[in-house]
Amino acid sequence: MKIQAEALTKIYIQGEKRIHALNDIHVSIAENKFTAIVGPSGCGKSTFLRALSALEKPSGGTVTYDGEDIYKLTEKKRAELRRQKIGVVYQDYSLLPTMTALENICTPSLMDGRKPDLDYIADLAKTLGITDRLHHIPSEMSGGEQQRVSVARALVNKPAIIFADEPTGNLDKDSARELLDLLLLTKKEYNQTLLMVTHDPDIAAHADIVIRMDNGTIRE
Amino acid sequence: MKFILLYIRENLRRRKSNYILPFLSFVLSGILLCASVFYLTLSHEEPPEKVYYYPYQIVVRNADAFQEKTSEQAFGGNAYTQFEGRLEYVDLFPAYQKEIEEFDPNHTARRLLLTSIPKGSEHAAFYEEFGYDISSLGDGDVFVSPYVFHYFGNHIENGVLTLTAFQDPSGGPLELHIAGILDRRIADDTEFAFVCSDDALLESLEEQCRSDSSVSYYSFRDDFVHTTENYEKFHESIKAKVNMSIHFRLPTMKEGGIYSGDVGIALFNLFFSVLCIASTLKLKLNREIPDYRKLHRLGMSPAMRFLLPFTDMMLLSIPAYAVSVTAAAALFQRIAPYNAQTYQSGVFVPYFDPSPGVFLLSAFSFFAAAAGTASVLTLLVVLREPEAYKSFVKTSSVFYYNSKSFVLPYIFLRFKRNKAYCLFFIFIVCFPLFVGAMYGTAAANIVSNGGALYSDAAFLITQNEVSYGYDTVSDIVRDISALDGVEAVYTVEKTNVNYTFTKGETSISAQFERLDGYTRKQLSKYLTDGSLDDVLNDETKIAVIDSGGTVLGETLHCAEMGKDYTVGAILKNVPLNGLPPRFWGNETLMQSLNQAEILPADIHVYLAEDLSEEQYAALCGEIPNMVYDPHARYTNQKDRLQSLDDGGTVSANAATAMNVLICVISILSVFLLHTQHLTNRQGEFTLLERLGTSEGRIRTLAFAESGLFVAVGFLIFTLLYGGYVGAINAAIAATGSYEFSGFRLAWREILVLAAGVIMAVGISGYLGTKKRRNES
Repeated sequence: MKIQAEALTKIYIQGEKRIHALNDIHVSIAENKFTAIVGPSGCGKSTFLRALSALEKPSGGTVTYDGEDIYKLTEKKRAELRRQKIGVVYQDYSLLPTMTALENICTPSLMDGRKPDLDYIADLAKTLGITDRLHHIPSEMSGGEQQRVSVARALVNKPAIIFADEPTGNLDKDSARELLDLLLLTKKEYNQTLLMVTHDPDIAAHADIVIRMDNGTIRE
Repeated sequence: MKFILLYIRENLRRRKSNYILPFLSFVLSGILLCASVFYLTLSHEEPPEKVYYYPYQIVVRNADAFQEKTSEQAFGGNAYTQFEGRLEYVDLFPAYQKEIEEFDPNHTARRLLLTSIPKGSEHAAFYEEFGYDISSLGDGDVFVSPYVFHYFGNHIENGVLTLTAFQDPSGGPLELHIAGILDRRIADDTEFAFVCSDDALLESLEEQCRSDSSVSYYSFRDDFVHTTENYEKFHESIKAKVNMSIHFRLPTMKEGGIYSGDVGIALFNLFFSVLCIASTLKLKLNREIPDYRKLHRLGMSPAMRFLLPFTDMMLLSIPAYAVSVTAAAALFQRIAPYNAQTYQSGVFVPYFDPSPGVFLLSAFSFFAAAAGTASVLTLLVVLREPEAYKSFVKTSSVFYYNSKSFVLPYIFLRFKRNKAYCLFFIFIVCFPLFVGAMYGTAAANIVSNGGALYSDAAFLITQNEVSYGYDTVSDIVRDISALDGVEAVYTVEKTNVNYTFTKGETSISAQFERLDGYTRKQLSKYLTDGSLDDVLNDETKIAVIDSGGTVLGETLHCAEMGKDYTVGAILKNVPLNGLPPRFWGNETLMQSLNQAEILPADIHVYLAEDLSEEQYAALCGEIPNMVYDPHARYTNQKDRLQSLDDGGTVSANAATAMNVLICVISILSVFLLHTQHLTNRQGEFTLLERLGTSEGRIRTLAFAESGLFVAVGFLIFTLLYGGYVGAINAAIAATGSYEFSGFRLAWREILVLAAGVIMAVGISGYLGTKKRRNES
């Protein structure tokens, strides 16, 4: 799937202040590649990721998936897009605390009206090394395990693109490395596009493409 | 402490909105708590003012024995005082014994007393208190008892009573000028009596009768607490040893009332008050939590972190209490006003007594509830560290991961993992409904127990024994019928003999009454089978009260008459108030009961509809004076019913007031708690949106979840309420003789509260799932 952003702008209003989070960004995300978005804190990386992942409507400009402006779609269609085409991994894992790992992983399928493919989930769990944790709630898992559950959830609907927002931010170095390897493995196995926001240069070094951002704009 | 007060002051200045809802909830809860206290402390004792039918005088003839008895008194000698001096009296009965016995075949009357009361004495003051001016009596003037006035009617002309058996001091025939007729307020013997203030007359009669007697009068002291219990104690302590008579009317305790019981009322209302306070205080604390966390990081001790919000909340409660107690007191002044007149019928209507003790109790209840709630909330919200979700989940939900849909499985999974909140939510939906329905049902069905009002007449005069002859009934009826304002007077004959009716092996003992046009009309509302007209026209038929298994047309054999009678009509729920069952037969049948003793009839007096208050008051004064038979009982049914209605109305209005408060409180609480709960789930909703759900679908999820819980709550309420109604109906059926026009379910109250809960859940569902946006 080809993702493009044209003249992408995002302005937040806080009281009387206007904060320009994104300033006229033009970018095309390479398919089936690992693209890293790097930049200092507060430069708009996460905002950019949310805009690309159909989570936050920009103040101006367009985001297209295969030429279709996703923000011209209805809310329902965008939700469908998020379920079927996109998988997202967050820094804080974003697992539902009262659900087991298995239940968390099954949630996107159920949202899509499909019975979860338990065999596929078992494979994912085996690949990600969380088979023993499937019936545990998040409070019973380590950070790394939780993040791997989050990855499994992102992959359960076999999306075309994975967005990862600082997925290794709360992990130690070894766990971070491990997670990156897993993401690259699944990207290769399922032929996906991986777009990751990171401030870790070691992570960025493994990317096929690095997009540098500063003050809401892209620096080459 | 200075910092605490400074913080509170600035908080109040800059965040006024944080205080509005908690203040409102304190006021509402305060009104409910104060109303509960006022309701539970409604006074049922006699009011402080003197009222009619007030026990005042104890007449003791054997004074020496009574004096002796005083050493064994039940109340430590403080119950009564003796009037100064003894009163001289003479008994004229022997001279008129034959005449009296002509209309008193049972020889009930044994005295015809003439007493002389010294002017200015304590005895005179007693009479003057009831409007009989002893000082106005001249020589030969007397006040007479009603019995004298009526039964010596032949001896009275132009207000002068001539007693030919005696002579006056000058030697002429004794002529007494009747200065007035003593009424029933005087706690005197219900016998023949004359009261004068003429020592010369008394001495003359003592000489003629060769008698010299005196009597001591005692009175309850002013500080004697006149309650049924104390009368009975007093009476028990001295009745065995002393020849005395005490006249007082025993007060009737409250009739009607809330079925749920006083303890239940207190607990329910306390629960709702705490719920209301908790829901708004939690909201306030949630908004202020960041401040307390900052203060914690700055080094504030846990004790201070407790004291600060606690003091803040308690200071807010003080003006709220002032508002709520004032409102509750004003409400109860309207619901249960003091009305001495209602005691005339002998029925006590509960009234609001705003004594310092009652207000102290209300203040204690309010501040205890406020302080308790504020403490617990402060500990839970401010001082407790937030914990991660912990549970004993061992396995994933098969129902969830084997489903094909999302909303319902998600709701069930949430219920499984959040049982405490879900059950609490169901509880706060069904419990207020149930309590509100109970209060509403009680209020709607508080029926004046007419105390066996077997008549809708304004006045009822009943006689259970023949005393002064059957003809006197005609006299009474004639005299009453002639009064202005009396529309109709009916008599109902009955026997005083119990007849035994057998059917197979079953036998019933019943009294007989005549069925005429009037009783036929009165009984028609109790008719369940057969025809009263048939009974009226056929002397072999009788109307009977259903005793379970009574069949129309069946034959009952009367042992005493040696005859068979057919059941021509069956009646149910006739209020007899513990009296023996009755059967009714027509006039011919009654006349054929020649072995029966026909009692003087009961007299039912109906008043004209357009009577003024003055006319009614005049009749209330006149008619009782016409009831001079000691075996007759006069009942002002109109006033009695009014008093019972008033008593029922007090209870009903109190229940309604508390119900309205509970409705408002529970709807507000459901709204606040649910909104807060959904607001706290914003993180979850954001995550679900990221995973591919629209805002609309999230709202659907929230509505479906709360809708399901509301439905479960309604179902549980329906079962509980059905059980409650069933229990009441069973209790009513068991009483048998209780007249009940039809049980009313509190549909209106239930629907209003249910609609309010649904709206509260709906609006809070919308507000709680509204996404917070801050972009252009």
